[in-house]
Amino acid sequence: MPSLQIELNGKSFAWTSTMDEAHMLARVSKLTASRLLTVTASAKLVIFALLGVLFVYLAGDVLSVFSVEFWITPSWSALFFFFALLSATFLFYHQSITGASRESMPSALDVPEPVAFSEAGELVNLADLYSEEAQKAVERGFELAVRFGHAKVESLHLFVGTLDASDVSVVFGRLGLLFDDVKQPIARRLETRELGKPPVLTSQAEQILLEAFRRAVLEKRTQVSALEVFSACYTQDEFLRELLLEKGIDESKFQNMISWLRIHEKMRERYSAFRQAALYKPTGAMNRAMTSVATPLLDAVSEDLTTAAVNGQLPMMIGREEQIEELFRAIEGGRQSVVLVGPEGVGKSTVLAGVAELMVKEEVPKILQDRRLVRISIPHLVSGASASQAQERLLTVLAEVSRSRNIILAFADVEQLVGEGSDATDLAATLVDFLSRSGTFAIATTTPSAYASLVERSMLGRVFQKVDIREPDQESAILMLESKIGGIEYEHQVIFSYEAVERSVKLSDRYMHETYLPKKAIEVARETALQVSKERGKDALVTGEDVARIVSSKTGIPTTSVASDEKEKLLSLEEKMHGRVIGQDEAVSAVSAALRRARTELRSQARPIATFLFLGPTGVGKTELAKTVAATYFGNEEMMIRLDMSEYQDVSSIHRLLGAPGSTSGGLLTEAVRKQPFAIVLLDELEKAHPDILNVFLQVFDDGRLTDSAGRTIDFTNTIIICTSNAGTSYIQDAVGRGEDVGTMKTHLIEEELRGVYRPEFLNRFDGIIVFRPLVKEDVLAITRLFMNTVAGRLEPKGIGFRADEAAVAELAERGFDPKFGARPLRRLVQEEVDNAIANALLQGEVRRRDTIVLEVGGKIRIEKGAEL
Amino acid sequence: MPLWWYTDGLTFTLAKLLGWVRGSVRYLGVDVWSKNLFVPMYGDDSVTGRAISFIVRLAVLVFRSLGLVLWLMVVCALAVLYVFILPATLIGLVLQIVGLILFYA
Repeated sequence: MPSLQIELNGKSFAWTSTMDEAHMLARVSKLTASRLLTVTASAKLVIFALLGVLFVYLAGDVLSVFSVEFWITPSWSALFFFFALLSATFLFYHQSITGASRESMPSALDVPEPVAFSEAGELVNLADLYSEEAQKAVERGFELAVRFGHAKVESLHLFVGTLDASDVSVVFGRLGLLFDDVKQPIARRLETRELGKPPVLTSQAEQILLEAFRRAVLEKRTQVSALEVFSACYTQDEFLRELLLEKGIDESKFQNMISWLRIHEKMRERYSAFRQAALYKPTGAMNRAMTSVATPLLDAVSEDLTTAAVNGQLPMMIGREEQIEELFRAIEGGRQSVVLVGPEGVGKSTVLAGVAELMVKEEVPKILQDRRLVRISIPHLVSGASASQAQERLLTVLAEVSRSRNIILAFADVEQLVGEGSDATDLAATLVDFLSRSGTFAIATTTPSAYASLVERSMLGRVFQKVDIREPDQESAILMLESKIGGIEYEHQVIFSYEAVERSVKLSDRYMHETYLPKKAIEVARETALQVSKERGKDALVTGEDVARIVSSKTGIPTTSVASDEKEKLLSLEEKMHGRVIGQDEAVSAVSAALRRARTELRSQARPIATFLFLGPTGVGKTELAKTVAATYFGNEEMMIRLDMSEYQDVSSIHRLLGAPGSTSGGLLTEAVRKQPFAIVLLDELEKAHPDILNVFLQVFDDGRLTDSAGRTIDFTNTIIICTSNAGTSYIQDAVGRGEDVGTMKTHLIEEELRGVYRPEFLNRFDGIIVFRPLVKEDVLAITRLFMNTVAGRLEPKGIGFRADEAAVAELAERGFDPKFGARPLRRLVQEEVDNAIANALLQGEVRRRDTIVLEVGGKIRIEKGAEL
Repeated sequence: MPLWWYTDGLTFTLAKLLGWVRGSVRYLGVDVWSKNLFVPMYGDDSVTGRAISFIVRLAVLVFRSLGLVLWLMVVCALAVLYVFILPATLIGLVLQIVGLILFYA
């Protein structure tokens, strides 16, 4: 006796089958018997028919069959005939009842929650609505319980039961899961179940069976399949959710994977329904009503989208129902032309294809029925023609359209019609005139920028009503991509995991800002498929990491997961940086921590990786630290966009930064970041820039984006922004002299010294304001050694060694150290004394390969001869 | 089976036959042709053009309707056949068996 039921359309749906061995045996034998019956009945029919013919032939008089006598006079041949007829009726009956299942799925838009079982109303056994495979899955669950001697059949049993179903194995395969991955935990859990005999269905399991039914109804399926049982198990059982989560599969992944399979199925169903409908759609210029006329010139410069749709050459449209409805409303309501406005790659052409497809099915407003959608190619129209010739051609084409009366025009990138300058021969004007007089209409596409600059304010804007085609969100883009994956897989002979699909969308959305979803995701997926098929051959699995690799190579941003050698690199960042930057522990550790946060994705996605303000006197290593970050983390020192803010001292220089108004070339900063989105942005000597220019950076620090003069949004979320400033230097030097600690110094700097230079809201937006303290003697000594190492490094390619005596180093440090100017004078000193002496020695030919140059006190150099060969 | 034949089976079969009729209407385009009876063919708006196209359309429509009527007859025949085939077969079978038994007895 079931405990739960769903009441729907006046019927009660409950799982009433008792699932014991006898029942399963009965079901299987019934099935076998039914198959046997069909076979024997068909065989009988054939045999009887043959025998009947034989008998009639043997009877001699063939024509006697047509006499009434033949049928009423008792004869063996007539008897055989009636037998055959009876078999035929039986066969018809049998086929009909097996073809249509006894119960049909109810149709409803909403299915109520299960309620307690009551025997009121017409009872329907859910098992009758389950597909063969789903029934088997439930049976396997029972068998599992029997085998383990469990008292209850629970969600876990049902879950394991579904694993053999073909759809479920596809889910596992695409999610990159193996049964072995989940085997151990499931086995452990099975061992803890209560023992007893015979197993009964728990109410939780019943709930799952009802939930599977509920989903099938909502999905408008003709039967409940094993996949619905599988996904119902997942949503109802906390343990299973946790189990899959441990394997990296969260709820949205799981659900998207299920919808992937559904999309494929729907595409198949839609395709066959579409083929049916396409039978009735004429593919030529002639419509069904035979009212149209031949359109030779139009045919030469256009493509018939409805014919292409009938031939199955157009892509399928997914999830654009709202826009289609809006489009039809505009056409139906005001007989008005429509322009689809959306950025490149969001699917405007697919919407056009969708309209063509609906026209084939004739599921369109009346004024679109029995017509064809013809896309005029503007380049074809104007190619090789002068302005007036092009206009003449357009007029002829439009005359043909007008006479034919069964043509809906489509224009891709309609802004091409708008003439440059004040040319009287503007094609747009011709089209507008035609559209407003003829009562026919057109569907056009254009981009938002072209719409704003060329369409809206030209004559076209008067007749075209705007329908926005927006970039789909990530979830819809995943569904759109899923609908394309089949083709890509077939083309490149690879198999996509779900993760690869998801990351194609998510990574391209996050890192590729120049193009739009779903096109960029489709392109990434296509490129990855090609790469994987080249590397690993046929039937290779495309994983999320493969996609990340492609995105990384396209953008230069590391998106793959952190490999073990990189892990070490990240953990020892401080050590590495100290190889180049002496002292300044606070600064080094703050920057290292920011880099680690960025790489492990713990940072905010909507801001730059980190923003720092380095304060301190000149020559203490501020710029050097920025360079070091570029070299150690971003690959090389070149990965740095450096702007000297002293060049931006007046307000008008903002145009150099962001691009001049009206130009499309972008500014110095925006172009650099657009081309190199993964880099350090170093703003040197920030205090020298005009305060209004600093306001621009408020937005960058907060939202990680900046809009250039051409209207492009530049993404700063993969940059580290480092500003250096000498403001407050004298205070720092004095404070260090007084022996104040860094904390007090910083507070005083922010509250007092920087107040006149930067506004509080600007300072507030930095992730860290780091005070570089002036160098002390020990630092300078270490820096001198570093310089000596650099000199040695420069000599190494020549095969010449270099070494400095400790005393010489100390002397250089002593002479080069200037508390006011930091390490800069030291660099000059090294250049003057050491480099010059070495250069002279080299020129005089005193030094040869394998020799070692030794720097001694007083700036003298001594040469140690190397061994002769 | 006899019960099914005249209940669910009957609705099932009649629905199927009705589907066939609908399909044939669409296939032959009788509705489209009758709607456009007075619309000139090939966009020829002249009086002669209209006259010719009316005559042609009428002729085509007649032929198409004829096809539809023929098809309707076939469908009706099938429906009648369905209704009578089961009792006819059973009666024929019984008659034959009885007749043969009597003949050999």
